[in-house]
Amino acid sequence: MIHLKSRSFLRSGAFALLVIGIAFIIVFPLYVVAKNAFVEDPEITGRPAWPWSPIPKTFTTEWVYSLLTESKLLSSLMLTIVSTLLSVGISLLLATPAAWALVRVGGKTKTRFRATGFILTFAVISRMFPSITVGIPLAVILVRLMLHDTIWGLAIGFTLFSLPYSLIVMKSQFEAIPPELEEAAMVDGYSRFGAFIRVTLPPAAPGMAAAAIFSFLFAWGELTLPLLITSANQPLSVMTWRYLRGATMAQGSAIAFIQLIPVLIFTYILQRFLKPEYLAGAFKY
Amino acid sequence: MQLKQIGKQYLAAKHNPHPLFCQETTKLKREQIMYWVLIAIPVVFIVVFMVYPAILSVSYSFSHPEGGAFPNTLAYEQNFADPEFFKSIEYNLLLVAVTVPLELLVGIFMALILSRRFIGRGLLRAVMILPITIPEVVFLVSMNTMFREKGVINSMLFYFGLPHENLWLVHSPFNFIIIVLVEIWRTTPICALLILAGIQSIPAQVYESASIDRATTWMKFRHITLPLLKPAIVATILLRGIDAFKIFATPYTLSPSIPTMTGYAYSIYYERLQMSLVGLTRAAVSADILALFIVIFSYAFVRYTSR
Repeated sequence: MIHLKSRSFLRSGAFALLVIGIAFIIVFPLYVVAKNAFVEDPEITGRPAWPWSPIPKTFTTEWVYSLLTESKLLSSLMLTIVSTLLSVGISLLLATPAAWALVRVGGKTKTRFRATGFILTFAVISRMFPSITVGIPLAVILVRLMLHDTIWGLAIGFTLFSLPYSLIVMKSQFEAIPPELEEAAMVDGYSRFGAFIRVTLPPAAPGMAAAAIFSFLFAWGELTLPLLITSANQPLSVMTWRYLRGATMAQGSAIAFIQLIPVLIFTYILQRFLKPEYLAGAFKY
Repeated sequence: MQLKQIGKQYLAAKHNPHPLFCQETTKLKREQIMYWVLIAIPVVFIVVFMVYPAILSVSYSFSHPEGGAFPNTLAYEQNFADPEFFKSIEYNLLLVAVTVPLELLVGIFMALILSRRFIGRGLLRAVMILPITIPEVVFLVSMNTMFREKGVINSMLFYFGLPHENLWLVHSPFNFIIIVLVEIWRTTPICALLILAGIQSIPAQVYESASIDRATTWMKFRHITLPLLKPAIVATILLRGIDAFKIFATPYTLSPSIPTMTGYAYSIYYERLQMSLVGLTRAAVSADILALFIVIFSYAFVRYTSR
Protein backbone atom coordinates (compact mmCIF):
# COMPACT_ATOMS: atom_id res chain seq x y z
CA MET A 1 0.00 0.00 0.00
CA ILE A 2 2.80 2.38 0.99
CA HIS A 3 4.62 1.45 -2.18
CA LEU A 4 1.58 2.39 -4.27
CA LYS A 5 1.24 5.72 -2.49
CA SER A 6 4.84 6.74 -3.07
CA ARG A 7 4.43 5.81 -6.75
CA SER A 8 1.39 8.04 -7.14
CA PHE A 9 3.28 10.80 -5.34
CA LEU A 10 6.14 10.48 -7.84
CA ARG A 11 3.64 10.50 -10.67
CA SER A 12 1.91 13.68 -9.54
CA GLY A 13 5.31 15.28 -9.01
CA ALA A 14 6.31 14.48 -12.59
CA PHE A 15 2.96 15.81 -13.78
CA ALA A 16 3.48 19.08 -11.89
CA LEU A 17 6.95 19.41 -13.42
CA LEU A 18 5.47 18.86 -16.88
CA VAL A 19 2.82 21.56 -16.36
CA ILE A 20 5.39 24.02 -15.01
CA GLY A 21 7.67 23.22 -17.96
CA ILE A 22 4.93 23.96 -20.50
CA ALA A 23 4.04 27.24 -18.78
CA PHE A 24 7.73 28.19 -18.68
CA ILE A 25 8.25 27.47 -22.39
CA ILE A 26 5.29 29.69 -23.24
CA VAL A 27 6.15 32.59 -20.92
CA PHE A 28 9.94 32.70 -21.25
CA PRO A 29 10.11 34.32 -24.76
CA LEU A 30 7.86 37.11 -23.53
CA TYR A 31 10.11 37.63 -20.54
CA VAL A 32 13.10 37.91 -22.92
CA VAL A 33 11.39 40.76 -24.80
CA ALA A 34 10.39 42.56 -21.61
CA LYS A 35 13.89 42.23 -20.16
CA ASN A 36 15.64 43.44 -23.31
CA ALA A 37 13.34 46.45 -23.50
CA PHE A 38 14.61 47.73 -20.15
CA VAL A 39 18.35 46.99 -20.07
CA GLU A 40 21.16 49.14 -21.39
CA ASP A 41 22.37 48.49 -24.87
CA PRO A 42 25.75 46.72 -24.31
CA GLU A 43 23.97 43.93 -22.53
CA ILE A 44 21.95 43.25 -25.64
CA THR A 45 24.33 43.57 -28.55
CA GLY A 46 27.98 44.43 -27.79
CA ARG A 47 30.72 42.16 -26.44
CA PRO A 48 29.98 42.83 -22.72
CA ALA A 49 26.55 41.34 -23.33
CA TRP A 50 28.10 37.92 -23.49
CA PRO A 51 26.96 35.68 -21.91
CA TRP A 52 23.26 36.64 -21.79
CA SER A 53 21.98 36.57 -18.23
CA PRO A 54 18.34 36.02 -17.39
CA ILE A 55 18.53 38.49 -14.51
CA PRO A 56 18.66 42.17 -15.53
CA LYS A 57 21.77 43.85 -14.11
CA THR A 58 21.06 47.34 -15.42
CA PHE A 59 17.81 49.18 -15.78
CA THR A 60 16.92 51.96 -18.20
CA THR A 61 13.72 53.36 -19.63
CA GLU A 62 15.74 54.97 -22.43
CA TRP A 63 14.33 52.83 -25.25
CA VAL A 64 10.69 53.06 -24.31
CA TYR A 65 11.10 56.76 -23.51
CA SER A 66 12.80 57.48 -26.84
CA LEU A 67 9.95 55.73 -28.65
CA LEU A 68 7.34 57.81 -26.89
CA THR A 69 9.14 61.08 -27.68
CA GLU A 70 10.23 60.36 -31.24
CA SER A 71 7.50 61.87 -33.41
CA LYS A 72 7.59 59.21 -36.12
CA LEU A 73 7.06 56.33 -33.73
CA LEU A 74 4.48 58.23 -31.75
CA SER A 75 2.47 58.89 -34.91
CA SER A 76 2.83 55.23 -35.80
CA LEU A 77 1.44 54.29 -32.39
CA MET A 78 -1.51 56.64 -32.84
CA LEU A 79 -2.10 55.33 -36.36
CA THR A 80 -2.15 51.75 -35.12
CA ILE A 81 -4.54 52.48 -32.25
CA VAL A 82 -6.99 54.54 -34.32
CA SER A 83 -7.06 52.28 -37.37
CA THR A 84 -7.37 49.15 -35.24
CA LEU A 85 -10.30 50.57 -33.27
CA LEU A 86 -11.92 51.78 -36.50
CA SER A 87 -11.65 48.33 -38.02
CA VAL A 88 -13.15 46.73 -34.90
CA GLY A 89 -16.01 49.23 -35.04
CA ILE A 90 -16.68 48.74 -38.74
CA SER A 91 -16.56 44.97 -38.59
CA LEU A 92 -18.91 44.75 -35.59
CA LEU A 93 -21.29 47.33 -37.03
CA LEU A 94 -21.56 45.49 -40.34
CA ALA A 95 -21.25 41.89 -39.15
CA THR A 96 -23.69 41.86 -36.20
CA PRO A 97 -26.89 42.85 -38.08
CA ALA A 98 -25.84 40.69 -41.04
CA ALA A 99 -25.32 37.63 -38.81
CA TRP A 100 -28.72 38.22 -37.20
CA ALA A 101 -30.35 38.57 -40.63
CA LEU A 102 -28.68 35.34 -41.78
CA VAL A 103 -30.29 33.49 -38.87
CA ARG A 104 -33.76 35.08 -39.16
CA VAL A 105 -34.19 35.40 -42.91
CA GLY A 106 -37.30 33.69 -44.33
CA GLY A 107 -38.25 32.38 -47.75
CA LYS A 108 -38.40 28.89 -49.23
CA THR A 109 -36.42 26.51 -47.02
CA LYS A 110 -34.25 25.09 -49.78
CA THR A 111 -33.24 28.39 -51.37
CA ARG A 112 -32.68 29.92 -47.94
CA PHE A 113 -30.35 27.11 -46.87
CA ARG A 114 -28.45 27.37 -50.13
CA ALA A 115 -28.09 31.15 -49.91
CA THR A 116 -27.02 31.28 -46.24
CA GLY A 117 -24.68 28.32 -46.77
CA PHE A 118 -23.11 30.05 -49.73
CA ILE A 119 -22.58 33.26 -47.75
CA LEU A 120 -21.00 31.37 -44.85
CA THR A 121 -18.65 29.49 -47.19
CA PHE A 122 -17.79 32.83 -48.74
CA ALA A 123 -17.05 34.24 -45.27
CA VAL A 124 -14.84 31.29 -44.28
CA ILE A 125 -12.85 31.42 -47.51
CA SER A 126 -12.35 35.18 -47.25
CA ARG A 127 -11.27 34.75 -43.61
CA MET A 128 -8.60 32.28 -44.77
CA PHE A 129 -7.60 34.10 -47.94
CA PRO A 130 -3.86 34.88 -48.15
CA SER A 131 -2.94 38.52 -47.52
CA ILE A 132 -0.30 38.54 -50.24
CA THR A 133 -2.85 37.83 -52.99
CA VAL A 134 -5.11 40.65 -51.78
CA GLY A 135 -2.43 43.05 -50.59
CA ILE A 136 -0.56 43.94 -53.77
CA PRO A 137 -3.66 44.80 -55.89
CA LEU A 138 -5.36 46.39 -52.87
CA ALA A 139 -2.46 48.83 -52.61
CA VAL A 140 -3.09 49.82 -56.25
CA ILE A 141 -6.83 50.27 -55.57
CA LEU A 142 -6.21 52.34 -52.43
CA VAL A 143 -3.87 54.63 -54.37
CA ARG A 144 -6.67 55.20 -56.91
CA LEU A 145 -9.17 55.89 -54.11
CA MET A 146 -6.69 58.36 -52.50
CA LEU A 147 -6.77 56.21 -49.35
CA HIS A 148 -3.22 54.89 -49.61
CA ASP A 149 -1.16 55.51 -46.46
CA THR A 150 -4.13 56.87 -44.52
CA ILE A 151 -5.90 55.65 -41.40
CA TRP A 152 -8.93 54.64 -43.46
CA GLY A 153 -6.88 52.61 -45.93
CA LEU A 154 -5.31 50.67 -43.08
CA ALA A 155 -8.67 50.22 -41.35
CA ILE A 156 -10.16 48.78 -44.55
CA GLY A 157 -7.26 46.34 -44.78
CA PHE A 158 -7.72 45.18 -41.17
CA THR A 159 -11.49 44.89 -41.60
CA LEU A 160 -11.11 42.47 -44.52
CA PHE A 161 -10.19 39.66 -42.14
CA SER A 162 -12.03 40.65 -38.97
CA LEU A 163 -15.39 41.16 -40.73
CA PRO A 164 -15.80 37.54 -41.90
CA TYR A 165 -14.55 36.34 -38.52
CA SER A 166 -17.10 38.44 -36.62
CA LEU A 167 -19.83 37.26 -39.01
CA ILE A 168 -19.05 33.59 -38.31
CA VAL A 169 -18.86 34.06 -34.52
CA MET A 170 -21.97 36.22 -34.28
CA LYS A 171 -24.00 33.81 -36.40
CA SER A 172 -23.26 30.96 -34.00
CA GLN A 173 -24.27 33.30 -31.15
CA PHE A 174 -27.63 34.28 -32.63
CA GLU A 175 -28.47 30.69 -33.51
CA ALA A 176 -28.62 29.97 -29.76
CA ILE A 177 -31.19 32.73 -29.11
CA PRO A 178 -34.83 31.69 -29.84
CA PRO A 179 -36.78 33.94 -32.27
CA GLU A 180 -39.84 33.68 -29.98
CA LEU A 181 -38.26 36.26 -27.66
CA GLU A 182 -38.22 38.79 -30.49
CA GLU A 183 -41.78 37.96 -31.50
CA ALA A 184 -42.97 38.49 -27.93
CA ALA A 185 -41.30 41.90 -27.93
CA MET A 186 -42.98 42.70 -31.25
CA VAL A 187 -46.39 41.87 -29.79
CA ASP A 188 -45.55 44.46 -27.16
CA GLY A 189 -45.06 47.04 -29.88
CA TYR A 190 -41.45 46.96 -30.99
CA SER A 191 -40.51 46.81 -34.65
CA ARG A 192 -38.46 43.81 -35.81
CA PHE A 193 -35.22 45.77 -35.74
CA GLY A 194 -36.09 47.39 -32.41
CA ALA A 195 -36.74 43.96 -30.96
CA PHE A 196 -33.34 42.86 -32.26
CA ILE A 197 -31.57 45.77 -30.57
CA ARG A 198 -33.41 45.49 -27.25
CA VAL A 199 -34.06 41.77 -26.86
CA THR A 200 -31.71 39.68 -28.96
CA LEU A 201 -28.55 41.73 -28.69
CA PRO A 202 -28.03 41.73 -24.88
CA PRO A 203 -27.74 37.92 -24.52
CA ALA A 204 -25.34 37.89 -27.50
CA ALA A 205 -23.00 40.33 -25.73
CA PRO A 206 -20.30 37.76 -24.76
CA GLY A 207 -19.95 36.70 -28.40
CA MET A 208 -19.76 40.32 -29.47
CA ALA A 209 -17.08 41.01 -26.88
CA ALA A 210 -15.07 37.99 -28.01
CA ALA A 211 -15.42 39.03 -31.66
CA ALA A 212 -14.34 42.58 -30.79
CA ILE A 213 -11.32 41.46 -28.76
CA PHE A 214 -10.17 38.95 -31.36
CA SER A 215 -10.64 41.49 -34.17
CA PHE A 216 -8.62 43.98 -32.15
CA LEU A 217 -5.83 41.49 -31.45
CA PHE A 218 -5.56 40.35 -35.08
CA ALA A 219 -5.50 43.88 -36.43
CA TRP A 220 -2.99 44.85 -33.74
CA GLY A 221 -0.60 42.03 -34.64
CA GLU A 222 -1.27 41.82 -38.38
CA LEU A 223 1.97 42.12 -40.30
CA THR A 224 1.69 40.98 -43.92
CA LEU A 225 -1.16 43.22 -45.08
CA PRO A 226 0.13 46.52 -43.61
CA LEU A 227 3.53 45.65 -45.01
CA LEU A 228 1.99 45.57 -48.49
CA ILE A 229 -0.51 48.43 -48.35
CA THR A 230 1.46 51.13 -46.50
CA SER A 231 4.66 52.92 -47.39
CA ALA A 232 5.17 56.07 -45.28
CA ASN A 233 2.69 55.84 -42.38
CA GLN A 234 3.27 52.39 -41.03
CA PRO A 235 1.72 50.66 -38.03
CA LEU A 236 3.71 49.38 -35.06
CA SER A 237 4.07 45.81 -36.29
CA VAL A 238 5.77 46.99 -39.48
CA MET A 239 8.06 49.23 -37.40
CA THR A 240 9.04 46.24 -35.26
CA TRP A 241 9.60 44.23 -38.43
CA ARG A 242 11.95 46.93 -39.71
CA TYR A 243 14.07 46.89 -36.54
CA LEU A 244 14.00 43.11 -36.65
CA ARG A 245 15.36 43.04 -40.20
CA GLY A 246 17.88 45.76 -39.39
CA ALA A 247 18.93 43.72 -36.32
CA THR A 248 18.73 46.74 -33.97
CA MET A 249 17.26 44.74 -31.17
CA ALA A 250 17.19 47.35 -28.38
CA GLN A 251 14.57 49.55 -30.06
CA GLY A 252 12.99 46.46 -31.56
CA SER A 253 12.44 44.97 -28.10
CA ALA A 254 11.11 48.28 -26.79
CA ILE A 255 8.48 48.55 -29.57
CA ALA A 256 7.66 44.88 -29.14
CA PHE A 257 7.13 45.52 -25.43
CA ILE A 258 4.80 48.45 -26.12
CA GLN A 259 2.91 46.24 -28.57
CA LEU A 260 2.67 43.55 -25.94
CA ILE A 261 0.96 45.60 -23.19
CA PRO A 262 -2.60 45.85 -24.64
CA VAL A 263 -2.34 42.25 -25.80
CA LEU A 264 -1.67 41.05 -22.25
CA ILE A 265 -4.58 43.10 -20.88
CA PHE A 266 -7.03 41.82 -23.49
CA THR A 267 -5.82 38.23 -23.17
CA TYR A 268 -6.54 38.43 -19.45
CA ILE A 269 -10.08 39.66 -20.16
CA LEU A 270 -10.57 37.12 -22.94
CA GLN A 271 -9.57 33.98 -21.05
CA ARG A 272 -12.56 34.32 -18.72
CA PHE A 273 -15.15 33.70 -21.39
CA LEU A 274 -13.24 31.96 -24.16
CA LYS A 275 -15.24 29.25 -25.87
CA PRO A 276 -13.90 26.87 -28.51
CA GLU A 277 -16.34 28.11 -31.14
CA TYR A 278 -14.75 31.54 -30.97
CA LEU A 279 -11.45 29.85 -31.64
CA ALA A 280 -12.65 27.81 -34.61
CA GLY A 281 -13.18 31.08 -36.42
CA ALA A 282 -10.09 32.60 -34.91
CA PHE A 283 -7.27 30.90 -36.72
CA LYS A 284 -4.72 33.55 -37.29
CA TYR A 285 -3.35 35.21 -40.46
CA MET B 1 -76.61 28.40 -54.06
CA GLN B 2 -75.02 29.18 -50.72
CA LEU B 3 -71.94 27.27 -51.69
CA LYS B 4 -71.59 29.32 -54.85
CA GLN B 5 -71.76 32.53 -52.83
CA ILE B 6 -69.05 31.35 -50.48
CA GLY B 7 -66.90 30.44 -53.43
CA LYS B 8 -67.41 33.91 -54.92
CA GLN B 9 -66.54 35.53 -51.63
CA TYR B 10 -63.41 33.39 -51.39
CA LEU B 11 -62.27 34.36 -54.88
CA ALA B 12 -62.99 38.04 -54.19
CA ALA B 13 -61.00 37.84 -50.97
CA LYS B 14 -58.16 36.17 -52.81
CA HIS B 15 -57.94 38.83 -55.52
CA ASN B 16 -58.71 41.88 -53.40
CA PRO B 17 -57.48 41.02 -49.94
CA HIS B 18 -58.66 42.93 -46.94
CA PRO B 19 -56.50 46.02 -46.32
CA LEU B 20 -55.46 44.64 -42.94
CA PHE B 21 -54.00 41.44 -44.44
CA CYS B 22 -52.49 43.46 -47.25
CA GLN B 23 -50.53 45.52 -44.74
CA GLU B 24 -49.37 42.35 -43.04
CA THR B 25 -47.91 40.87 -46.23
CA THR B 26 -46.12 44.07 -47.26
CA LYS B 27 -44.70 44.26 -43.75
CA LEU B 28 -43.35 40.73 -44.08
CA LYS B 29 -41.94 41.52 -47.52
CA ARG B 30 -40.30 44.66 -46.17
CA GLU B 31 -38.72 42.59 -43.41
CA GLN B 32 -37.33 40.17 -45.97
CA ILE B 33 -35.88 43.05 -47.98
CA MET B 34 -34.31 44.47 -44.80
CA TYR B 35 -32.71 41.09 -44.03
CA TRP B 36 -31.17 40.80 -47.47
CA VAL B 37 -29.90 44.39 -47.41
CA LEU B 38 -28.25 43.78 -44.02
CA ILE B 39 -26.61 40.64 -45.40
CA ALA B 40 -25.58 42.37 -48.61
CA ILE B 41 -23.64 45.24 -46.96
CA PRO B 42 -20.69 43.18 -45.63
CA VAL B 43 -20.76 40.96 -48.73
CA VAL B 44 -20.39 44.02 -50.95
CA PHE B 45 -17.54 45.28 -48.74
CA ILE B 46 -15.68 41.98 -49.10
CA VAL B 47 -16.37 41.79 -52.84
CA VAL B 48 -15.05 45.31 -53.44
CA PHE B 49 -11.94 45.08 -51.27
CA MET B 50 -11.07 41.39 -51.43
CA VAL B 51 -12.67 39.57 -54.38
CA TYR B 52 -11.96 42.38 -56.83
CA PRO B 53 -8.27 42.59 -55.81
CA ALA B 54 -8.03 38.80 -56.09
CA ILE B 55 -9.43 38.96 -59.65
CA LEU B 56 -7.03 41.82 -60.41
CA SER B 57 -4.19 39.65 -59.14
CA VAL B 58 -5.15 36.89 -61.58
CA SER B 59 -5.32 39.39 -64.42
CA TYR B 60 -1.89 40.79 -63.43
CA SER B 61 -0.39 37.33 -63.61
CA PHE B 62 -1.60 36.95 -67.21
CA SER B 63 -0.59 40.39 -68.45
CA HIS B 64 2.58 41.48 -70.21
CA PRO B 65 4.74 44.07 -68.40
CA GLU B 66 5.44 46.00 -71.62
CA GLY B 67 1.85 45.97 -72.85
CA GLY B 68 1.71 42.77 -74.90
CA ALA B 69 -1.46 40.86 -75.71
CA PHE B 70 -3.59 40.24 -72.60
CA PRO B 71 -3.70 36.51 -71.94
CA ASN B 72 0.06 36.26 -71.79
CA THR B 73 2.05 33.57 -70.00
CA LEU B 74 5.33 35.51 -69.88
CA ALA B 75 5.30 35.89 -66.07
CA TYR B 76 4.64 32.17 -65.65
CA GLU B 77 7.52 31.34 -68.01
CA GLN B 78 9.86 33.69 -66.13
CA ASN B 79 8.88 32.17 -62.79
CA PHE B 80 9.21 28.61 -64.03
CA ALA B 81 12.71 29.44 -65.25
CA ASP B 82 13.65 30.65 -61.74
CA PRO B 83 14.94 27.83 -59.50
CA GLU B 84 14.11 29.96 -56.43
CA PHE B 85 10.40 29.75 -57.36
CA PHE B 86 10.33 25.95 -57.23
CA LYS B 87 12.43 26.02 -54.09
CA SER B 88 9.85 28.28 -52.43
CA ILE B 89 6.95 25.95 -53.32
CA GLU B 90 8.97 22.94 -52.19
CA TYR B 91 9.88 24.47 -48.83
CA ASN B 92 6.36 25.73 -48.30
CA LEU B 93 4.88 22.27 -48.82
CA LEU B 94 7.62 20.71 -46.69
CA LEU B 95 6.94 23.13 -43.82
CA VAL B 96 3.21 22.36 -43.95
CA ALA B 97 3.87 18.61 -44.07
CA VAL B 98 6.26 18.74 -41.09
CA THR B 99 4.68 21.34 -38.79
CA VAL B 100 1.01 20.33 -38.96
CA PRO B 101 1.38 16.68 -37.79
CA LEU B 102 3.84 17.70 -35.05
CA GLU B 103 1.52 20.46 -33.84
CA LEU B 104 -1.33 17.98 -33.80
CA LEU B 105 0.62 15.43 -31.74
CA VAL B 106 1.79 18.02 -29.21
CA GLY B 107 -1.69 19.55 -29.22
CA ILE B 108 -3.38 16.23 -28.39
CA PHE B 109 -0.85 15.69 -25.60
CA MET B 110 -1.50 19.14 -24.14
CA ALA B 111 -5.26 18.71 -24.47
CA LEU B 112 -5.03 15.45 -22.51
CA ILE B 113 -3.12 17.30 -19.79
CA LEU B 114 -5.67 20.10 -19.71
CA SER B 115 -8.60 17.67 -19.55
CA ARG B 116 -7.38 16.39 -16.17
CA ARG B 117 -8.16 18.19 -12.94
CA PHE B 118 -5.22 19.74 -11.13
CA ILE B 119 -4.33 22.89 -9.19
CA GLY B 120 -3.53 25.77 -11.52
CA ARG B 121 -5.43 24.35 -14.48
CA GLY B 122 -7.22 27.65 -15.10
CA LEU B 123 -3.90 29.45 -15.01
CA LEU B 124 -2.35 27.05 -17.53
CA ARG B 125 -5.33 27.54 -19.86
CA ALA B 126 -4.92 31.31 -19.57
CA VAL B 127 -1.21 31.06 -20.33
CA MET B 128 -1.93 28.85 -23.33
CA ILE B 129 -4.05 31.55 -24.98
CA LEU B 130 -1.00 33.84 -25.08
CA PRO B 131 0.65 32.36 -28.19
CA ILE B 132 -2.64 32.81 -30.07
CA THR B 133 -3.00 36.45 -29.11
CA ILE B 134 0.50 37.92 -29.04
CA PRO B 135 1.63 39.58 -32.28
CA GLU B 136 3.82 37.49 -34.53
CA VAL B 137 6.55 40.14 -34.73
CA VAL B 138 6.87 40.43 -30.95
CA PHE B 139 7.51 36.73 -30.76
CA LEU B 140 9.98 36.89 -33.64
CA VAL B 141 11.96 39.63 -31.89
CA SER B 142 12.23 37.28 -28.94
CA MET B 143 13.23 34.33 -31.12
CA ASN B 144 15.88 36.43 -32.80
CA THR B 145 17.47 37.25 -29.43
CA MET B 146 17.25 33.58 -28.52
CA PHE B 147 18.93 32.01 -31.52
CA ARG B 148 21.35 34.66 -32.77
CA GLU B 149 25.09 34.15 -32.45
CA LYS B 150 25.37 36.00 -29.13
CA GLY B 151 21.92 34.96 -28.07
CA VAL B 152 20.22 33.27 -25.16
CA ILE B 153 20.62 29.66 -26.30
CA ASN B 154 24.33 30.01 -26.97
CA SER B 155 24.75 31.69 -23.55
CA MET B 156 23.11 28.74 -21.86
CA LEU B 157 25.41 26.35 -23.71
CA PHE B 158 28.31 28.51 -22.53
CA TYR B 159 27.21 28.17 -18.89
CA PHE B 160 27.18 24.40 -19.24
CA GLY B 161 30.60 24.43 -20.93
CA LEU B 162 29.31 23.21 -24.28
CA PRO B 163 30.34 24.58 -27.72
CA HIS B 164 28.67 27.97 -27.84
CA GLU B 165 29.55 29.55 -31.16
CA ASN B 166 26.76 27.91 -33.14
CA LEU B 167 25.16 29.86 -35.97
CA TRP B 168 21.72 28.36 -35.40
CA LEU B 169 19.96 30.44 -38.02
CA VAL B 170 22.51 29.96 -40.80
CA HIS B 171 23.44 26.29 -40.94
CA SER B 172 21.21 24.06 -42.93
CA PRO B 173 19.50 21.47 -40.75
CA PHE B 174 19.30 23.73 -37.67
CA ASN B 175 17.53 26.67 -39.29
CA PHE B 176 14.78 24.43 -40.62
CA ILE B 177 14.36 22.72 -37.23
CA ILE B 178 14.24 26.08 -35.45
CA ILE B 179 11.58 27.41 -37.80
CA VAL B 180 9.52 24.27 -37.22
CA LEU B 181 9.92 24.66 -33.42
CA VAL B 182 8.97 28.33 -33.54
CA GLU B 183 5.84 27.55 -35.55
CA ILE B 184 4.95 24.76 -33.13
CA TRP B 185 5.26 27.18 -30.21
CA ARG B 186 2.99 29.68 -31.92
CA THR B 187 0.24 27.37 -33.11
CA THR B 188 0.05 24.30 -30.84
CA PRO B 189 -2.26 26.04 -28.32
CA ILE B 190 -4.90 26.50 -31.04
CA CYS B 191 -4.78 22.76 -31.77
CA ALA B 192 -4.79 21.95 -28.06
CA LEU B 193 -7.83 24.11 -27.25
CA LEU B 194 -9.80 22.85 -30.28
CA ILE B 195 -9.05 19.22 -29.38
CA LEU B 196 -9.79 19.90 -25.71
CA ALA B 197 -13.28 21.01 -26.75
CA GLY B 198 -13.63 17.69 -28.57
CA ILE B 199 -12.46 15.72 -25.53
CA GLN B 200 -14.85 17.54 -23.21
CA SER B 201 -17.79 16.73 -25.48
CA ILE B 202 -17.21 12.97 -24.98
CA PRO B 203 -19.71 11.80 -22.31
CA ALA B 204 -18.15 10.51 -19.07
CA GLN B 205 -20.48 7.46 -19.05
CA VAL B 206 -18.51 5.93 -21.93
CA TYR B 207 -15.34 5.96 -19.83
CA GLU B 208 -17.23 4.62 -16.79
CA SER B 209 -18.55 1.64 -18.69
CA ALA B 210 -15.07 1.01 -20.08
CA SER B 211 -13.67 1.03 -16.55
CA ILE B 212 -16.28 -1.55 -15.53
CA ASP B 213 -14.96 -3.71 -18.38
CA ARG B 214 -11.48 -3.21 -16.88
CA ALA B 215 -10.02 -1.22 -19.76
CA THR B 216 -6.57 0.28 -19.13
CA THR B 217 -5.85 3.98 -19.63
CA TRP B 218 -4.15 3.27 -22.95
CA MET B 219 -7.07 1.14 -24.16
CA LYS B 220 -9.50 3.91 -23.24
CA PHE B 221 -7.43 6.44 -25.16
CA ARG B 222 -6.97 4.18 -28.19
CA HIS B 223 -10.51 2.82 -28.47
CA ILE B 224 -12.68 5.62 -27.05
CA THR B 225 -10.93 9.00 -27.15
CA LEU B 226 -9.24 8.72 -30.54
CA PRO B 227 -12.23 7.45 -32.56
CA LEU B 228 -14.60 9.94 -30.97
CA LEU B 229 -12.09 12.74 -31.52
CA LYS B 230 -11.75 12.01 -35.23
CA PRO B 231 -14.01 14.87 -36.40
CA ALA B 232 -12.20 17.38 -34.16
CA ILE B 233 -8.82 16.11 -35.38
CA VAL B 234 -9.70 16.34 -39.07
CA ALA B 235 -11.12 19.85 -38.62
CA THR B 236 -7.97 20.92 -36.75
CA ILE B 237 -5.70 19.48 -39.44
CA LEU B 238 -7.56 21.32 -42.20
CA LEU B 239 -7.65 24.55 -40.21
CA ARG B 240 -3.98 24.49 -39.35
CA GLY B 241 -3.03 23.27 -42.82
CA ILE B 242 -4.61 26.37 -44.35
CA ASP B 243 -2.77 28.65 -41.95
CA ALA B 244 0.51 26.83 -42.35
CA PHE B 245 0.44 27.51 -46.10
CA LYS B 246 0.57 31.24 -45.40
CA ILE B 247 3.80 31.03 -43.35
CA PHE B 248 5.86 34.12 -44.11
CA ALA B 249 7.43 36.24 -41.36
CA THR B 250 9.11 33.45 -39.39
CA PRO B 251 11.43 32.18 -42.14
CA TYR B 252 11.74 35.61 -43.74
CA THR B 253 13.16 37.27 -40.64
CA LEU B 254 14.90 34.36 -38.93
CA SER B 255 16.45 32.49 -41.82
CA PRO B 256 16.00 34.00 -45.30
CA SER B 257 17.65 30.98 -46.90
CA ILE B 258 14.34 29.13 -46.44
CA PRO B 259 11.98 30.67 -49.00
CA THR B 260 8.19 30.47 -48.81
CA MET B 261 5.54 31.31 -51.40
CA THR B 262 4.46 34.53 -49.67
CA GLY B 263 8.10 35.38 -49.05
CA TYR B 264 8.95 34.80 -52.70
CA ALA B 265 6.14 37.07 -53.91
CA TYR B 266 7.06 39.77 -51.37
CA SER B 267 10.81 39.69 -52.06
CA ILE B 268 10.47 39.66 -55.84
CA TYR B 269 8.10 42.64 -55.91
CA TYR B 270 9.45 44.82 -53.09
CA GLU B 271 13.13 43.91 -52.97
CA ARG B 272 14.53 42.19 -56.04
CA LEU B 273 12.60 44.01 -58.78
CA GLN B 274 11.89 47.27 -56.89
CA MET B 275 8.12 47.55 -57.44
CA SER B 276 8.39 47.27 -61.22
CA LEU B 277 5.67 45.88 -63.49
CA VAL B 278 7.72 42.74 -64.12
CA GLY B 279 7.89 42.21 -60.37
CA LEU B 280 4.14 42.78 -60.09
CA THR B 281 3.27 40.12 -62.66
CA ARG B 282 5.73 37.61 -61.24
CA ALA B 283 4.62 38.20 -57.64
CA ALA B 284 1.01 37.77 -58.77
CA VAL B 285 1.85 34.34 -60.21
CA SER B 286 3.24 33.11 -56.88
CA ALA B 287 0.42 34.71 -54.87
CA ASP B 288 -2.25 33.18 -57.13
CA ILE B 289 -0.86 29.67 -56.81
CA LEU B 290 -0.90 30.10 -53.00
CA ALA B 291 -4.50 31.39 -53.14
CA LEU B 292 -5.51 28.36 -55.20
CA PHE B 293 -4.13 25.97 -52.56
CA ILE B 294 -5.93 27.89 -49.80
CA VAL B 295 -9.30 28.11 -51.54
CA ILE B 296 -9.27 24.34 -52.15
CA PHE B 297 -8.35 23.61 -48.52
CA SER B 298 -10.90 26.06 -47.08
CA TYR B 299 -13.65 24.62 -49.26
CA ALA B 300 -12.73 21.15 -47.96
CA PHE B 301 -12.86 22.53 -44.40
CA VAL B 302 -16.31 24.04 -44.89
CA ARG B 303 -17.66 20.87 -46.49
CA TYR B 304 -16.21 18.74 -43.71
CA THR B 305 -17.40 20.84 -40.77
CA SER B 306 -20.90 21.51 -42.13
CA ARG B 307 -21.62 17.81 -42.75
